Amino acid sequence: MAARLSRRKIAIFVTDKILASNHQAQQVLRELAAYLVTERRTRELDLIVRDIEAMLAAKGTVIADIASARPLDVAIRAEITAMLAAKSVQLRETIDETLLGGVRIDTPGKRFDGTIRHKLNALRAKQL
Amino acid sequence: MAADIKVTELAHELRKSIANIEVADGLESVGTVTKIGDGVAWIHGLRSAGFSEMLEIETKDGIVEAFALNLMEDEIGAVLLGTDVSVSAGDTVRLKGTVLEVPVGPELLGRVVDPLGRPLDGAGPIKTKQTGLVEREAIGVMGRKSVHEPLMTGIMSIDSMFPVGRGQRELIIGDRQTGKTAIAIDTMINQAKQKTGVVNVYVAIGQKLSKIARLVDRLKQEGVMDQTIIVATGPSDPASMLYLAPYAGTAMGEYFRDNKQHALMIYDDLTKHAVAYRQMSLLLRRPPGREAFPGDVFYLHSRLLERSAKLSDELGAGSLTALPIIETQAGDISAYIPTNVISITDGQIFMETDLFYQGIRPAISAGLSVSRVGGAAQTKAVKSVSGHLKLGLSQFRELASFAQFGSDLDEETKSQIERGQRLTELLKQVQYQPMSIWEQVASIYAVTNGLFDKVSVAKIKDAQVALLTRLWTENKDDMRTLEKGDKPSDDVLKLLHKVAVSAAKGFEE
Repeated sequence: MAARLSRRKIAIFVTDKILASNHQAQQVLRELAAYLVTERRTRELDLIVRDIEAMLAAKGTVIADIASARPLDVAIRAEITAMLAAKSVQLRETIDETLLGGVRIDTPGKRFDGTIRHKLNALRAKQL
Repeated sequence: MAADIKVTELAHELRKSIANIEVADGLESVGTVTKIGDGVAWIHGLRSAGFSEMLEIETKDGIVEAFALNLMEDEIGAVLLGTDVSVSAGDTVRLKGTVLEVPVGPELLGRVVDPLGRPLDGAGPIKTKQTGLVEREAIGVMGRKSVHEPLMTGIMSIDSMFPVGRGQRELIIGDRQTGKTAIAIDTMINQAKQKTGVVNVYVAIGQKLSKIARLVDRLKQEGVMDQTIIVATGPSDPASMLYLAPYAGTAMGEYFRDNKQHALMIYDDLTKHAVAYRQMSLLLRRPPGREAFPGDVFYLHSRLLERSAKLSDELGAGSLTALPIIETQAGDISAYIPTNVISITDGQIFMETDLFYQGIRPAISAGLSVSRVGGAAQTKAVKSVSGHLKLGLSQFRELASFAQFGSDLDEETKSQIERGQRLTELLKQVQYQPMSIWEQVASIYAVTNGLFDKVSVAKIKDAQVALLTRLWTENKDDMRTLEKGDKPSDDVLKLLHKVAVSAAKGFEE
């Protein structure tokens, strides 16, 4: 029986394929899906996606989740893109009013939390 | 002067630049909890985490700390330092950037703390000036010195036959309910009674909390608590706390060792420690070995006990003595953990159930106990009178069982047996009453020189009390000299002889 492939190795392989196919990822993802079904590893899907995102980020393509209380304007979006300093930045935006204000940026393996809710929580933790 | 200003400015500019960089790149490494259960969290991400590095898990009820023990290609296995009730899959995990440290210093004396140095005695917060690394490398060869100063336990059979020196690791091993902890407690009490200045650190690993409470009360009654630190973990604490307790306690003891003082560590007991580590290892899915213990269970204890040492003069000549305790099952010292710890330590005191129930307490086995380095550290006064004590006692136990079969024994054997019976009786000692040097010397001298041979075995203890009372009331100064521990002069020996003979008269058959 062949040794179980680590998620990291799968992620490296898939990332290289995606980048080599000039971002035409459909075929690569179909192959990955087939592999996961055959190996009965579909439960690991979320983690593999995260690993692939991390690998892409390491190679200059950053997919960032932006959460904010209100919709972002163009200037802030440009600032965030500049701050992430990558070859290519893709933003996925969500609106979450419970954040109260500010913005939270999640990139693979990293986070910037500039929301008011986070600051209030930190303040509360300090007082405790 | 000008150069000074420049240097100050340089440091200031550097700090400002660092602060700017930190503000500019507010991105911090985070991971996510993927699985949680039994006090172990599996974490995705945080590829830069180091071994044993502290992690902070952000839960809805606040921060829960953990430390990373399994660094694998795809995930990290971390052991929680608190309850896992509030941690759930999806929680964010951050690196703390430090390894585990605990508060150390004299501020901890008299306190009962948990393995993280948090007070458990309700006597207010503990504010120490320093912290110490929980996992620390042991001192190297050049930083050490051979064990040469005695650490008196106050228990006559130990001080005379298996002496413990400062910096030694002497294992106390035996079945349950054979008086292992009692020996450790008496040793702590003796440090206060004899004013040796040795600081006690008692590490309770998974001990019943009621037992710890009783111990604290007793130590307070005996006035020992002021020079004692208790690191307490109970059976309901997470395995990670039980695992950390001896290392944290050692860090607290090392403070005194490194500051030219002497400390005594008591690990009660390392069997439970190994079991807690086995639980953690199995939950972290490390492969089980013999008795399901992980492969590094030897290293678990060897790296802990190697931190006990006598430091060289250059390092201040402080010392850390260790009395680890191991519980055996049905007297089996050839089980896995007992053999490991026996081979790590510098000797063992073996407690026997049979002796305990025969009323010979402390139930120390003369044949199986040994002190490998203590001889050089034995108090000269005690050494001068206890030369062949161990051999004589072992031979007596052998002869005694042999003598049960017949009564026609030659005179020499008979006298050996009778002397042995008296010695056994003499070495019985009540708990919480450690004996000082002069008391030990006078008692052993009287019996080994045959001065109590005519006293019946049942009255040996009474004769001993009479001897000690007379010596103290009539010859206080000589006894104080003897107490210093030097080899007794001929005059003192003559005095002991004279008083012992007259004390024995009142109890002769």
